[in-house]
Amino acid sequence: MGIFAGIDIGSATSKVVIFKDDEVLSFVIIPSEVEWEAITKLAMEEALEKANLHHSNIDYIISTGYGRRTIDFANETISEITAHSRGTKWLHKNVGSIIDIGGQDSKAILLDENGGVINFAMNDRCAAGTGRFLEHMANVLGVRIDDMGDLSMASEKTAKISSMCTVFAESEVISLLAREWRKEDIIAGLHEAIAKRTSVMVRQCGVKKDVVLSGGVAKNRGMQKALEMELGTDIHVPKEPQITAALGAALLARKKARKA
Amino acid sequence: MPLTNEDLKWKSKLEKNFNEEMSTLVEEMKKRNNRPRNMEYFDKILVEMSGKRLEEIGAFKEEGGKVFGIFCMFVPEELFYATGAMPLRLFAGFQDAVRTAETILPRNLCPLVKSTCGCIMLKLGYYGICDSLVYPTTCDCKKKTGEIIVDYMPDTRVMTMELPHTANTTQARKLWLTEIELLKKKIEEIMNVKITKKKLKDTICLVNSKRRAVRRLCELRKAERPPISGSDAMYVTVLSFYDDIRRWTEKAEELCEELEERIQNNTSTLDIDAPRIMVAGCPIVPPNWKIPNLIEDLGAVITCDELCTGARGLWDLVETCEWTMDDMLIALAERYLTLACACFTPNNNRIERILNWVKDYNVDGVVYHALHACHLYGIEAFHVRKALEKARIPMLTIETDYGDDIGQLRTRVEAFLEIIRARKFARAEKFRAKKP
Repeated sequence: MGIFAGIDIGSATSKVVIFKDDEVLSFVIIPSEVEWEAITKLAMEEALEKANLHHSNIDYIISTGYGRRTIDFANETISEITAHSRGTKWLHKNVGSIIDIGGQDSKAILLDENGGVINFAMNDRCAAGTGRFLEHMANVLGVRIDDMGDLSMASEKTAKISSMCTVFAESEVISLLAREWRKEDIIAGLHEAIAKRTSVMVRQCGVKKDVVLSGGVAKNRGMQKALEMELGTDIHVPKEPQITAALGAALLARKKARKA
Repeated sequence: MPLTNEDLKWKSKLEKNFNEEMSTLVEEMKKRNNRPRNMEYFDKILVEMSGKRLEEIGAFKEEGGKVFGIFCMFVPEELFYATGAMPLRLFAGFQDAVRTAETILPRNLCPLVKSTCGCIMLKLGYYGICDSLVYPTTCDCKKKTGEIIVDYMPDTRVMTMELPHTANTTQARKLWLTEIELLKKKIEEIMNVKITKKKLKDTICLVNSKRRAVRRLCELRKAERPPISGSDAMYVTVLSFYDDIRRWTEKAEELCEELEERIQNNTSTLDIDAPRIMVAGCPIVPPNWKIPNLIEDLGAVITCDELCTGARGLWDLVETCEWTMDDMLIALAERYLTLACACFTPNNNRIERILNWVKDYNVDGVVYHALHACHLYGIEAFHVRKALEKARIPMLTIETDYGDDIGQLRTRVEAFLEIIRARKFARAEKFRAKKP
């Protein structure tokens, strides 16, 4: 059989998944830094240590994500789209649509019944409506990004945010604060604005049940709820929503090694 | 409009960048393995666009020659050649000049139009040499920017041509024929020459021979292993608009001969399993060659392009039954109305041609190139996608400009090629399973 690794180097975090036979042995999520290669090596070592393994035990490594080309110890690279579709399909057999909202991009993927990609859409250049956007707004509001989900659940009246440009949205948030809006309501408004924008992208590809939300932003319950409201359907979030692409890369590594 | 000292400073800076970008592109192209040896000529033309080629045009002007800038594919080159004038197609793919144009134009416009306008404002090399401009009423961007560009031309006896919004009605055909006749008269006036039957016939044959060379090059790309990369082939085609028409045709035919030998000797380096891609949509102009290079650097091969800077723009010949003046003008009008630009509505011809070419060139997927703020091609992507979906051909729409977004584009193209490869693989498996 063998042991395989998938590495997903995102703009905000890098993830490593170590995979054996049919189970995840270990995984690591660390913040991405400029020194991608060094940081990824550290993450790899940590994941191996957790699984009581050594680098030489690994049969095949595939990297994916924004920085997939920056590391030289991967045997191969694959795009995030393919990686997400494989990983999510393995975790959630009935997946039809994937929404992934990461640090600086968001994407929607429509799958066929075998998990093959039918269509996909990605946001363009600007990071509007992604993790970075939320992070920035959390700073403006003086709250922790991890608390945003829970705070938004306590909202009584959702604020209206009309702009998705980080700079303009910031001034909108500041003026809402000045008008004594509650932070909870502003955060709910931000989630709603992102959900509206994201849902257009999802509908471009087609919405098919089950809809699975992944990426760092999927850990935000408020975001999940806002998307459910906007798309009018249940949204499933995997237990570890950040590692689906790394897992997909590991699964592809297994497939590759089997063929060889 | 004369250049101020400030303009001249800007111009010298941009000229340097322009030449550098062109040289860098050529260097990049040269790095590819096993290119046809006849590409050498075309590499030289691009590098020398602001050098020798410019001197050549300068010498032509010194001998009394006149150079007409044509701002769109719809202006019939034949009518200029028939009076001894030289038509030059004006389009630019140079990002720095976009900023120049943004000093006078709204920001949210097509980058091709902005870049061309900027190049003309600063009279950058090749773009500063035209005496006069003809701009047809194709898209809003070209038509309104055309008005501004006119001010930068020495001879402002400039012509517009009214292009109809539809291409298939009797009224549209009548209108367009009238416009062609008017253009002929105006050129005759400016050049003080009468276009005779013989002259027009000769130039129709001249331009047709260029188009035949393009067709021959396209046909060769249908091969199971294309003898030339799409990036090279598209680059040869686009150069036909810059170069001397006779010399270009001769060199393109020589290239085709070499490619025929390559097919016979099976010396193509292109992978037989490479996904076969069609590039459709908005024009692609050097030095902005990121789309063709990206697609092929990722292991696919562009077997066919549906661009007005490429096969779509040059495919159709002017076909006349009899060589009378009336017949020739009708044939010209008909030919240019079939260009299937997205400015026409409805534009079923374009979709039909895309579907035909998908079959003829054995295309696995279509990359649809939409320039920012090009509403026409951007909107028409919907119908193209629908038609391709029916034919089970995947399509990737790329919306981009001349900026550097290669990282994001790479992920999209890579994912698209992975989808195509997965489908090809599944089809092959199915086929194998069926075999007894």
